[in-house]
Amino acid sequence: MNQEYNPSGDFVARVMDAVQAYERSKAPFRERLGDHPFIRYILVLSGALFGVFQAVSAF
Amino acid sequence: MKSDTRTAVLAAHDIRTKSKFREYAESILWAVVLVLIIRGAVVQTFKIPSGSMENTLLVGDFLLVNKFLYGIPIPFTDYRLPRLRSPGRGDVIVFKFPGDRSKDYIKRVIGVPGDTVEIRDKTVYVNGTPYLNPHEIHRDPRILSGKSDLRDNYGPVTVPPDAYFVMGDNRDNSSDSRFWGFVRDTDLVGKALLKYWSWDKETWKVRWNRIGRVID
Repeated sequence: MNQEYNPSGDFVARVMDAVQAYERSKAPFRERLGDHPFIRYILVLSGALFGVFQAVSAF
Repeated sequence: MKSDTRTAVLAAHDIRTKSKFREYAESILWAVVLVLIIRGAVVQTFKIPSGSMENTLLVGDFLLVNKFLYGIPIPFTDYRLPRLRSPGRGDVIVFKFPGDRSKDYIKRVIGVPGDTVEIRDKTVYVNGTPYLNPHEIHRDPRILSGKSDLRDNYGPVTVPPDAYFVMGDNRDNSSDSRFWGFVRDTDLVGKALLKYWSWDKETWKVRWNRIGRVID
């Protein structure tokens, strides 16, 4: 390596972001879908609604 | 690749794997917390399995019950947070059945603390005045004497403090305060608000005209 080259402080972080983005792009569609936060919010909301609307008997 | 860079790549991959599991676990936990808060302190849903409140509530009606109007109960205690108001005459309330607190009942409040309740030949008198409930129905033309049955002739009784006298709207087919006494304030669950679903299992049809109706 060129001894005069001084990488920036966030060099490793930027490289890691690029590596992770590349890995995500290679992941199957199902796995990529599960990573999307919108899907998790939908699951939380639908689970909560199902729990709320599960009715108890009142005689 | 230098060993420290390789270590950083592997570590980053591990972090991503752990975060995904943790994020899903946190999402599930949030859903559970939301359900507990909403059902415990805001609204809870109930379904009607009997006809004791006909025609106000039919078998197959699903309703929302306000949990905070009469004070949110503090779990595992008999205490409640401050209430907006107490049950009034005519309120349709859900409560823990005094004979079996694992069961929830729904009836209409007829007498509040201090009221004198009497029934003479099916007519309800509260504090000496006939209590006119437009929702009550009588399907049995017979009038039973108070000696054999308390259904049509009852009392007079005075409602104790922190208790309520309740009756079903289907007066001739309702197990209520006439037979098992008063409902304690600590057994209140909430006030019935509206019907959000209604399914007639005999005809296998949705009763669309009942959905969204306020319970009064």
